[in-house]
Amino acid sequence: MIEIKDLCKSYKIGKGKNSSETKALENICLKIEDGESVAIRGKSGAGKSTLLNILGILDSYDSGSFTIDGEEIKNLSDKKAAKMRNKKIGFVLQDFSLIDSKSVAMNVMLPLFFSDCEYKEMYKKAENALELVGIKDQIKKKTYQLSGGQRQRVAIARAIVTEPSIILADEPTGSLDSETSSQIMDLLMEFNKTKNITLIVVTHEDSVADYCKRKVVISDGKIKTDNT
Amino acid sequence: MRKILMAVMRIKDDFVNQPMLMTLYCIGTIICVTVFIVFFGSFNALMDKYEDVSKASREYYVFFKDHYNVSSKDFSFLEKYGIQEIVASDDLEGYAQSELEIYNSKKSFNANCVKIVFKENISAMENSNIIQDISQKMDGKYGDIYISPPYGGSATEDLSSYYRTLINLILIYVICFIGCGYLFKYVFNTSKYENTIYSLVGASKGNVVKIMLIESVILCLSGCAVAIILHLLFKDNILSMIYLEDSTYSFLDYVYIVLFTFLLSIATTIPFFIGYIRNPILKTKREL
Repeated sequence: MIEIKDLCKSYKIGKGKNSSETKALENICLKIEDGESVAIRGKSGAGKSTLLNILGILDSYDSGSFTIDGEEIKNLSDKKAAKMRNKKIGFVLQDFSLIDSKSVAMNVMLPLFFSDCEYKEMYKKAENALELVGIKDQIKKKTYQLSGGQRQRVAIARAIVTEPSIILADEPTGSLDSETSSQIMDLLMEFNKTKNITLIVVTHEDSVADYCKRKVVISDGKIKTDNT
Repeated sequence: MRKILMAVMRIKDDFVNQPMLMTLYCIGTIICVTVFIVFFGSFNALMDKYEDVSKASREYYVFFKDHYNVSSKDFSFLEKYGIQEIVASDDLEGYAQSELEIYNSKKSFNANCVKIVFKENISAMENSNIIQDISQKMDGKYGDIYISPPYGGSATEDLSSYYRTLINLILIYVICFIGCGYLFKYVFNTSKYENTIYSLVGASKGNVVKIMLIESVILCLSGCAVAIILHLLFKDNILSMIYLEDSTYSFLDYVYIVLFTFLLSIATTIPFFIGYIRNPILKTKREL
């Protein structure tokens, strides 16, 4: 379970005397139960990506509390934060964030290199994950040889290979056509339902947000609406 | 073990993705190490030469017409000048056939030449006193003697060609080293994207730095190995053109060279790694 209480985050813009502080997030309170699907919506610059980065333990926050399964994130060392990202969180990003020079298998296996997974099991797990996203036959190809939709599937396979409890998707369909977008969203929703993975999607598209049961709208760093 | 495997895979990928950059980096490393090997040998040769020149300015030869049994106590009258060593030899036309260090030893040696080396440099006044003392104490007792005073040439003059060669080598090394540093910066920058993805999937910064460090050490040690092989192959022909004469290498010298290069490669990469550790993951992600 993810629990956020009165979370604030601000950025310094500029240097020295000319610097000013911009509030990116202000008193955010959010409770997300295991297995929920949540769409975070908002205009550009509203703070939704900042919130996702904090949820993914990629960014710090100034005040408030943020816990995953009861563990306060602010107190975590870099090593522990990395371990939590590896075990509990999978990322699916707009630009796919794949390493093009490596094979599909290697990209999917990447999180397992930083886990306790036995070396022999890595390839097997990658194969299973790719089978779940429907591109097992592409396992030996380099990622640059794949289409956009296939590449996003590889990213999803990489996100689920460690069996995380949370998937964070930042504009997951932003680089895809509408047909491929719906296929990718169907796939993410399937994992949400069948594997009880919490799905948090940041998007500005209504069609994508409609897949999720809960919609949180952020405006000027504050939660404007939170509808289930 | 996993980190080593990942580092090896990264090197392989680097060569596939940016062959020109990696080839230049490897050539740069090999040149750097080769120049250092030549510098190391030449520096040792300089030190030996310096010791020889220094010794030459402190050593006296006393030649006898015949062979005499000489021992350390025969030269005790020179103790006041501070003796470093006394070597008695069986000399034939300036070449010692056999010799024995007799200073501080009870042994005697049937010699026709004795070399006396003093600890400190000898002043002009001391020089004339020593020659006078030796003449007084030994002339007659050992037949006619001939005293050869210390080498009078200027040590600086003699070593100037050595210094020139070493300075040239240092300049070449510094240029190669700076070039390699810049190439490493490019290699490091191109790996930023991959490092950020490692962080996304759960690698701690420590783990990423360890992988990068292993990568640069593998590249450096491979460069070392190639440079040493090239040196062994070409030391007697091509490389001898830039050598100082008398440059010799022992196995231990090569160990020192590898160790130095290894430590230097780590020291060079540390600032890059500190920069990486200090930057938040998100900043690196945004920079891409």
